[in-house]
Amino acid sequence: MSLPSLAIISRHAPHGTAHGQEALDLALVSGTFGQAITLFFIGDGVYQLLQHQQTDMIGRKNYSKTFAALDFYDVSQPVVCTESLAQRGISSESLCIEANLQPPENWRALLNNFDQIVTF
Amino acid sequence: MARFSLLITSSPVDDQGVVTAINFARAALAANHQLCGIFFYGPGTHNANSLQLVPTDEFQPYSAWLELAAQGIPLHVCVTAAARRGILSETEANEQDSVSYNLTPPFQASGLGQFIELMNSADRVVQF
Amino acid sequence: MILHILTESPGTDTFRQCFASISQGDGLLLIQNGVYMNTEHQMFSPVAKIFALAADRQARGLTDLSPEINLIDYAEFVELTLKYDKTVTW
Repeated sequence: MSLPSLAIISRHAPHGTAHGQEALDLALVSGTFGQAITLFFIGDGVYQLLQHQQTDMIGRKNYSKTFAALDFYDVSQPVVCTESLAQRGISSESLCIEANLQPPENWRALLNNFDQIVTF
Repeated sequence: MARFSLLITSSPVDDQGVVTAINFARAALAANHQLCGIFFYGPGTHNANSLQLVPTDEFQPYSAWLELAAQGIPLHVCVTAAARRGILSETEANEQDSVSYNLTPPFQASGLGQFIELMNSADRVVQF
Repeated sequence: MILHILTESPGTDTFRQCFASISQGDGLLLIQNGVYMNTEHQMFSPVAKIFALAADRQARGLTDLSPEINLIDYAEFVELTLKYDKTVTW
């Protein structure tokens, strides 16, 4: 029996709240269970993917380094909303990983392909 | 009859989500649907804290969860997310030499794998 | 088709994210602070059927209701989740 696929929408900026980190934890665990899993970034969630994050001074884990290892956990390439990037003046070159950049119409079409959706 | 699993990421005090979830769960049971289980994650793990004191004229989320558990609905709590928030089961308290614990049955300390299982056994997952 | 369950009011980033994610044929259920939405707040041409949890509107003293919004109770909330393939809570 194939496991249902899971989309995890990450929509909060990093460090200010724990939402992004707990979304990533869920993605990594689901990946190890063989679940087809994809992270979707929208709104302030796209800030999580910025390069050059240094969290030593604020006592928060710099989990942005883990995004590079998603493949190792069998988590597919994250889908990122290009409109959210544009609204925040973020170019694709300033992201810490290679992401699947999609305008809203494709972003939501991709989301529709998943069996279950959770948001953080 | 459909099978539901609920994912609770709302705190019992700070959000309305928990009241909504409990009303949803009661309505699902009243319509003879099955609740495979409820999984508490993130800020939602605060629901498992047995030391909640809510003024008596207000809604009592902890007792409401216990009532659902009494109807045979499993209450699973992500042990890692809960421990970060000071919500420990007796087993973890012993391992950490902590004198007290506040995650007690019917709440069960579980891992995220349990959520995957609940998700896979349900027709619908609803997050609150 | 997705049932989008919106818990936050118009003007929030959450509200915009939800609307950006709605496809033709999806459903939109307003609960909690989501019930502050009336159809004049809708930023896109209506693609989704819209529902609102009556108890949450009543709790907030909201009386003016757009004709496009269907009021439902908890029993109907449960059934609504089964009419769509999956749910997402915003």
